[in-house]
Amino acid sequence: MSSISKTKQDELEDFSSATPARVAVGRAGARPLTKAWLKFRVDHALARDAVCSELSEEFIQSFAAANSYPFVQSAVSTRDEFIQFPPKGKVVDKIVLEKLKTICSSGNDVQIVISDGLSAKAVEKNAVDLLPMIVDGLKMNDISQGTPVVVRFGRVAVGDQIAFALQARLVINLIGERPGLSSAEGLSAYLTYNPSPQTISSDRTVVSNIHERGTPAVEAGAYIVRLVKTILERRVSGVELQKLS
Amino acid sequence: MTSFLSVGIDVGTTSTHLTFSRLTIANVAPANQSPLAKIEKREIVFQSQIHMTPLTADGNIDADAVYDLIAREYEKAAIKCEDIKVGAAIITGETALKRNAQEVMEKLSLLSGDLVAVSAGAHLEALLSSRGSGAAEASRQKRSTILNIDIGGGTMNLALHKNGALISTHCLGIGGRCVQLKSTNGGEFEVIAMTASAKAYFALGDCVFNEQTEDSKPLNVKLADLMRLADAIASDVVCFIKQDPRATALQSLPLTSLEIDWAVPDEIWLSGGVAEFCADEKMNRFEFSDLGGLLGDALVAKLRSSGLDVKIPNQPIRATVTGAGMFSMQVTGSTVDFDINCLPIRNVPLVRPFQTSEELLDRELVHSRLIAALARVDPEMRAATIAFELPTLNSVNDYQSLKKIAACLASAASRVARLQPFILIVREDLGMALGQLFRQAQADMERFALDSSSTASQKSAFTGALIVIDGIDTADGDFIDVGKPVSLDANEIARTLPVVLKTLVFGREH
Repeated sequence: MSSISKTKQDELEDFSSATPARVAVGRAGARPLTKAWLKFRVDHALARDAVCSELSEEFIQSFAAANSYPFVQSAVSTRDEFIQFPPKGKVVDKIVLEKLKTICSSGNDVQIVISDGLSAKAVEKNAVDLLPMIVDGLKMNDISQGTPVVVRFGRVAVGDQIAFALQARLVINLIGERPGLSSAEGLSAYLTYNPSPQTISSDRTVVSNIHERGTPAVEAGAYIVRLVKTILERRVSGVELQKLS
Repeated sequence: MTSFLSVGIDVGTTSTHLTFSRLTIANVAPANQSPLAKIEKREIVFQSQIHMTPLTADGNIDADAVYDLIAREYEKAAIKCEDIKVGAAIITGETALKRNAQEVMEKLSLLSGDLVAVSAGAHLEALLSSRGSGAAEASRQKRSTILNIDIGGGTMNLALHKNGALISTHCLGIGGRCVQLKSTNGGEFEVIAMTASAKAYFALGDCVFNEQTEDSKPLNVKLADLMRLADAIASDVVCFIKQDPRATALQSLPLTSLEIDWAVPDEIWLSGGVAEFCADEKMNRFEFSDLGGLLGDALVAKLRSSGLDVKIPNQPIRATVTGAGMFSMQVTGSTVDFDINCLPIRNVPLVRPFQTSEELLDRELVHSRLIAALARVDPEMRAATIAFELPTLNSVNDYQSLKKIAACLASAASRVARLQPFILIVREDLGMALGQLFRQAQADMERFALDSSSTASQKSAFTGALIVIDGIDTADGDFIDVGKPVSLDANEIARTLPVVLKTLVFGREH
């Protein structure tokens, strides 16, 4: 490193500070520096941990139970099964749906679902700030909403089923993103108008990268409220919404 | 993607001209992310002729003549003022100190559209010319330190960029028109007028002029005298650049600096009217009957002989006007909050009443800070409103803290209800969130006031208009203009506000 001049080093720092990507990390012979290699291993381990992470008992108590949000599980019974059989994470048992119908109000404009997805850590980190912004904002705009439902081992489509059962016009699924090597705590919000078992991916409008170094959770919440208003007005979401003009 | 017309008008000591540009705003955020507005393209669509700035017999700017001149250029370009969305009309250099500068700008504002800043100030002027000349961009691309010197008739504006970022601006109160001349038959020049700055140089004795001329007797000088004067000024500029304390004469010159940092530049770019001489060797050195030509030559020679690399951009005289047209505007983040009916707003003083975000959590402190800021900026209660820039909110961007902050601000706003609209500027991407929480706090206060009708008179909720913006660089701006929203998509989900920051509005110098 000492062979690099002060200005060059400044420049390299400028470049590397502009992106979370692993640029200008140096090398030793054909290999990365030990420091850079360890950093990579750490980030990779964090990503793997996030994928394997589950919603903690503490979070379930303080977030779901304390607010009386129903806590349900998809058709999957373990985290390993969830990772290995993606379709199973998209559905919940009929019995669970019937139970939800008895404890949640139906026929609302919006149904919010919070799912662990591929990073339970993302949910634990961001939902506490994101959810109340959406709930407050919908209230201020006189948009009716059902009781939020928290799902363990849930994938994006699990929201369709729940919202369909509760006859909501729009579902918001706040779900942990597949972790990358720069952030393991990113959350996404999937907004789907008229959700049903027939819903396909292009029907969804998504706000991704909600995390500390992406869009702050509170700001994303306010933005999602604006998206909800637009989607309810235009009666369409996803690619079709983008095509409107 | 939206594009619109922007105008830059420059009324300088010597010349007056304008440029129309087309700016294109687009959402540059990756797909599926919260939108991000950016000015993606800047193109020049029309450049006017360079006109001599019309003056009246008593040395003021001829406001009517300037207006006519600009109006004719609009006609030539076939552009109506309603077509113009943003831009800046600036009175530059010494001209800004003329008594009727305000009047001229008011006249010009009749010709400008929605959001045209009608004044700039030395700091912004230096910045605009360094962006307009291309020096700022070159510094970014080459990752080098570049000083742009924009030399007009009355002033020299210096802007120093390092790796593209502005690190310092300065304004020296001397320019090409510090001496006005008339050729005489004997190959000498008669001095018709001379600025105080030029006189300061004579007083130093470096130049051989005999001052103390009676008004009746014309002062005649030789070419060599003028060259010595130009050399003396140029030497001082070089000393200044090299931070050499021998730049004694500069100490007697009007100099305004915004110094954050200083570094000896890798390159010097010369722009402005005087730099036209540097770009064209064949141009008559006395084209404008002043020191401009000689000063340009002297500067290039002195800078080069002291080992500095000198570059002259294309069309150097147009640097400021190009900068004004293309770079005076910024766009806010696209998740912001505003009441559309109160836009556009112009010339709103900008204050920073808080040091840390913790202060925002204390209701009484927030109120007293707002009151203190108001008393400082607007003691006579003339301003319709004031914009409050908040400190970084990174440590308080959780829901509970931000909600508390919004409540404190809303409470303070209700107690200074004359501020309409209430304007907040946030550094981080939190504008829309703070806006929502602020409105919620307003609604809560209203409900509270209704519920406890016995004490209703005590607290009347602030129910006025609100603007919360983020994503702009306010640097050291003193005033802000905010235009009507621009939509980034057909559904108007993402909307950004054009913003112009400026450092001076007339009437402060006098």
